[in-house]
Amino acid sequence: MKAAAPIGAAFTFLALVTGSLWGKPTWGTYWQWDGRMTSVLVLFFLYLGLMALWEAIDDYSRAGRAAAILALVGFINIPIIKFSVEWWSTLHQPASVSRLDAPAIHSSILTPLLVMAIAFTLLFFLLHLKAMRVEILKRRSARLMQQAAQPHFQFQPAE
Amino acid sequence: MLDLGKHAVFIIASYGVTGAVLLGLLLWVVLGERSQQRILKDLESRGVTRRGRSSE
Repeated sequence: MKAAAPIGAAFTFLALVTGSLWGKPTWGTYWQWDGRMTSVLVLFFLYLGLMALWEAIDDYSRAGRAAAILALVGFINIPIIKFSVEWWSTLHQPASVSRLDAPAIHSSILTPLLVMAIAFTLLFFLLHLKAMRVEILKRRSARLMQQAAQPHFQFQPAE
Repeated sequence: MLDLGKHAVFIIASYGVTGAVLLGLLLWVVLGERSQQRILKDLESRGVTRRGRSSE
């Protein structure tokens, strides 16, 4: 989760910024405090909160527990984001891809949208794998430094 | 040159922000890995390895 949060924050930031940029010519405004936009902004802040929590607590297991609680509480926001366009009168259009009947988007836009959705999902997995590797290396070096700081540690000469 | 129509500025800005953020993410993981590898190599050269042990 520690490795995934910055990637989630970056992707959510992109959704907010590019959505806002497209909102200006289509809706006439960059931003409005409607259900969908506000709930996605809350998601972005949740990611930032998770990142801050991991940095604020030195002990990995304590940080992990605190971050897990925040993630569980924050997950409540996911169905809110999904159904916000149905529950409240929003400037954002209602569901246009995942509907019980056919998608409401023309295939000339739907096809590239789905292709990019798959591409970004794969990119997420790639970045997440790399970020997890960095985290493993970071913990290994932290453990070695801690080990070396012990008074009776015997250094092994490099071969 | 591709004609992006009257919304060109919004389209270019969206691609620009997306490119910058994705580049930032890539640099974050690539430079992070390099930096950690460097730290581990440095520790190893000073004799701090997992083979090193406490005499207690």
